[in-house]
Amino acid sequence: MASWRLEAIGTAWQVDTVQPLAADVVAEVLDRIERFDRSWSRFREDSVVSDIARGPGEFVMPDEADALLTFYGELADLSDGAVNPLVGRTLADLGYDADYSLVVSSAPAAVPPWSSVAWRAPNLTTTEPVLIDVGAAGKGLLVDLVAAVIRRDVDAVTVNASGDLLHAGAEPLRVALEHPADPTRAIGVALLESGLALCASATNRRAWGDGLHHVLDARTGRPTDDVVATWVVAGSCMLADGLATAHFLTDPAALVGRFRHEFVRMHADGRVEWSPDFPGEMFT
Amino acid sequence: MKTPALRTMLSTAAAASALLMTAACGASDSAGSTSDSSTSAPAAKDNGDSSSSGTYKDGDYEAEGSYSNPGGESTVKVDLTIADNKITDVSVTPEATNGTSKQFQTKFAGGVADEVVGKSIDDLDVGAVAGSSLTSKGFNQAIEQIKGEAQA
Repeated sequence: MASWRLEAIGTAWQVDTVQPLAADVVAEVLDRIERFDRSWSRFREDSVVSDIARGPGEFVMPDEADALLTFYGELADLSDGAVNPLVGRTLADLGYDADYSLVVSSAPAAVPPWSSVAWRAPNLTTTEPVLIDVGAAGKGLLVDLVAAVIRRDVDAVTVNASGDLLHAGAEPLRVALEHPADPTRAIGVALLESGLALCASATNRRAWGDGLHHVLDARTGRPTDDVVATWVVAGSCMLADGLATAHFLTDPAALVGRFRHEFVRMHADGRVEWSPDFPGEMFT
Repeated sequence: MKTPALRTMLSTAAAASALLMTAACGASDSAGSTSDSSTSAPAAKDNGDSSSSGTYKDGDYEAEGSYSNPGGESTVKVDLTIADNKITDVSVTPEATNGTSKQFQTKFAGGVADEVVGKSIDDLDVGAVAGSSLTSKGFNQAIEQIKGEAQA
């Protein structure tokens, strides 16, 4: 096995393959990551997202926006507005800004509803400056995009972006579900079949700590604390990532009814619930 | 990869993150106490010099943050102990009170369990661990914040 460790979009990645990746594949992966970052990072001035934040207008979005923003729109509907990529300004006001000031503003901005922008791929039209934060599903999408680049060259690969994991290989991958309060323990094990993705999300350890996402309820503009950790298995990492966030904020029935996936979620009082066909074992 | 040292770091970051939430969200219930100092909940921002070497008062630190969410009020309590400039112990205790955190819709669940303790990851044969993600940058920030609180 060959492991390639890299730092991308503010977090640690590991790519496992049978043989080391060819140099041109590595270069293509790095280029894909850079293009993604240049479009979506709210932490760099030259990104499309930063451009959108400077003033209203019509913006041409990159190819992957079609999948990502359309998915966000659905999650916004299903969650009654709780999931919303326009939380960026509020996150920044709460201290999670480009400088990591960690200083909360006296009056954090309210989150504009997703319906206040018009999304018709590839154009996003805004009427006020809005700060987009694709933390809920963006990293998962990038895992999908990176895996797609690699799989043009090799069949078996596991991409693990610190909590967002996509696996392709002959054998299923056993993944420990880390206890959110104790990283030495697992509450269960997932058995990830080839072609599936698993995303884990937990609030207690990543507040202001993760370069990508922190779980805010867009309706209140405040962090949510009822659910403390979620895990989702789905057919793409973008789906798994977005749904992992949505399970903090939404009735599972609404999500299960719309997207094919399996989930585990842990509440603040330590209770754990999981979907009937979650692949793996829970240690109860 | 799963060395004891790394685990210590992860645990430490866990506490730091919760502390940061307390600071950043203006928790209504923040309170702190230490055995030998009056340090309370972390300041929202230190003096900008928290990276300098210095000493931190030994003691047990405690902070609480409570937030409203659609399910009601929830609280996270963090305890940590500093001795000889090191964080020697840390614990994060979520304290759900009411609302949807006490409810459960059984018809959509395969199972439900109370207070899952789990198994030691060392005893499991796994190829990966799925927990919350952590960045070096964020981790460093979190540690700085703890230093800021504990600066003697």
